[in-house]
Amino acid sequence: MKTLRKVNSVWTYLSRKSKVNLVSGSLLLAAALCLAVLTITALTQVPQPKQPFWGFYEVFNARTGDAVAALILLLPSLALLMEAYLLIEAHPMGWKVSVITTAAFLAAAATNILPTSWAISLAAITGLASILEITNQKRNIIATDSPIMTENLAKIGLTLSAVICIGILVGMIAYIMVRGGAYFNWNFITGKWEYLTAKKVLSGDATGSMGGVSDMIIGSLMLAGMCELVAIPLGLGAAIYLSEYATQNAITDVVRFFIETLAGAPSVIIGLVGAAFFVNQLHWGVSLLSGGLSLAFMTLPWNIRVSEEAMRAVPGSYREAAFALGATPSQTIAKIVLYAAMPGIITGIILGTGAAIGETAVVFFTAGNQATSLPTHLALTGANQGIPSLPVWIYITPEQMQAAVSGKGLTPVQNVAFSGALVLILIFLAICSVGLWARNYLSKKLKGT
Amino acid sequence: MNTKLLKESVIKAVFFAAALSSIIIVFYIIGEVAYVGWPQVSSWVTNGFGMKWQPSAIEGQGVYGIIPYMFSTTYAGVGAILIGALIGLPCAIYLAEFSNEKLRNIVKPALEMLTGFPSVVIGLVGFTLLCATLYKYLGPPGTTMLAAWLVLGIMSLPTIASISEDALRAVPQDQREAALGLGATKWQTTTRVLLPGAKSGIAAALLLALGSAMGETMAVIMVVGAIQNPPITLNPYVNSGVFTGIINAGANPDNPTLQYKQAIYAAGLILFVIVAMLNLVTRRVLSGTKISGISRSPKP
Repeated sequence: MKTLRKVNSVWTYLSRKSKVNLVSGSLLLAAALCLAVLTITALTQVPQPKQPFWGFYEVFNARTGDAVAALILLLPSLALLMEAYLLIEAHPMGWKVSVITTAAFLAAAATNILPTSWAISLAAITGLASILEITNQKRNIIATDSPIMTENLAKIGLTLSAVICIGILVGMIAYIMVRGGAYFNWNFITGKWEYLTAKKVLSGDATGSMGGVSDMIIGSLMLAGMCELVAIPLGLGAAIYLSEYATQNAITDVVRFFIETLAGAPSVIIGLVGAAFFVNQLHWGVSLLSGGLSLAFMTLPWNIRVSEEAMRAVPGSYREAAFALGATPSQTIAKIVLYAAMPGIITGIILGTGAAIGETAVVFFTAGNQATSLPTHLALTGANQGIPSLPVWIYITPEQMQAAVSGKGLTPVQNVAFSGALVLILIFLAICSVGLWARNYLSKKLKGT
Repeated sequence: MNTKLLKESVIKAVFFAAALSSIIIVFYIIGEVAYVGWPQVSSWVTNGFGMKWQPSAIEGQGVYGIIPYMFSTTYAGVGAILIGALIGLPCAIYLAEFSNEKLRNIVKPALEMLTGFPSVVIGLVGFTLLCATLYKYLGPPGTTMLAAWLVLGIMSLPTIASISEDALRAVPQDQREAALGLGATKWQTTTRVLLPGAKSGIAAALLLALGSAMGETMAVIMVVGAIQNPPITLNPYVNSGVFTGIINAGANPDNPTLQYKQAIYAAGLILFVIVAMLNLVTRRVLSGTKISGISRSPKP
């Protein structure tokens, strides 16, 4: 009964529409289906490349890549479907869409993206549809502009874009997990990296354990710690001055401009200057101190910004109450403002640390780009004090191994790099979650609930 | 009493010094880059910027022209923010106007997380997944300007989406209610009231994204091919190279010639000046609005 009623309602819906529109709309629908079938057959027949992509083209890429490509290549069929719907609806936007699709198919015919005969016949169909729709427009056989339908269409499109945004993040993490999972185990986190063994294992000459990235993890954490050791006091001090002492005038404007400029400075330039100053001029070599201080240059503006915003959000009445009780400005800042702003400051700084751990270019220049193990006698500065770090290791490992495994497929090498990437994003996600958790926890505690 | 005042002013001076530190750092960066790179910059000014980049191990033999890099870096940045805006702006509109609070509280932190995502990891995914797929369907070379657009577009997504969202939310509630009260749908309100009202904030978001896209290093180097002398062509499916690539390649400590070093620093100076200019313009655009910068990238 239910299905019958549904069919009946569809029938009434269709019978109210103009006959010409219905016929040409179903023609378009058929064309959309044909195009979809053509696309899918063409997709299954894409030949494997004669030369593999640097030896990298393997199963993972094939499956995921095909899915993405299929989605993109089905877009023209989707456009045709939409056009058919708009035509049957006699929507006022219909003729614009038809003209655009016609032009697109003609362009496809001219550039040989689609087989020429197909493209031209599709262009002819959509062209006829657009002529029909324009005459409809002239004879006023169109629906009145329906804002509700536009709204619904817009809602679908907007939701889709939000889904794509999140899908990119989730898809990227999933891809890293799938590929990194191949070598990811407890030993990979805690072991020391055995460069020579790894070379043999990856080229298939030997079996055994190639160790792990513990030194890289420790190095990255040490660099981030060193960076925050400098960036937190400086950033807090600057933020306190800007939010509590300075009045809005030309000087603070200039200070703010320079903070913004530093925030926007490309990391490769900070690395270049850090290398010139710390490594060469001060003769500190590539070391913990050089790397940490250069990273601090990068993190400082972020720390200033989050601390200042957190302090500005503290209500003025808190300060006035403290002043009325006879507190000096410094006492007010230390006991009241900083305390109330703590959740924002801590969260901001933790998130900044997360970004600092993933930074590659700065570390590459100032903390060493070859080391895969910690120096035997760790010192702040000096020769042979290169600090291994996870991002740099991810960057250099495929390059280092490339020659050793030539001709045997680079997938295992890449998977090792992906395992490192998995460790890095796990650290990154852990830091981010701690930061977000800290904000909730501390602000709850402050409110006393 | 007097000692108390003295103590207060000392404390204030210490905080002021901390605030000055970033000025000193920026001056040092510009000073160092300009000081080393100046001979090359003045040669560019007198002899033209040159079309060919060919370093040499012999002093005086290298040719350092950067017009191709200027073109390709700008082209990469512009293409990237177009892609970023195509997905990011609708996403911002959705978050600001159409989603419920619950969903927004999930999506916004996730987007902010994507901001700080390690660029080397994005580069690795871009190289192994994106470039290889492009290689299969469009043929060699795979590592292309198109891949750089897509990767940089994804990286600029969070900046564009979250600042535009702030800008849309900063439009006064009265205006929204007035439009809805006149019988406009949400979509009509968005296109005719909110977007015009938020256009300076959205422009700032795009400029900021452009600046960080042009300064991005690792992810681009891994997907763009990083060849010398990128071709000046509008065709995006070619190997290319960017400013940050030559700086990265040339900053190897294996003792480059003095002229090479000067050229790299000069290229760095130009990149820095471009990014700082964009920053200045962004500040001017943003100065009239109430948008906070909290959601901006923690990374340059």
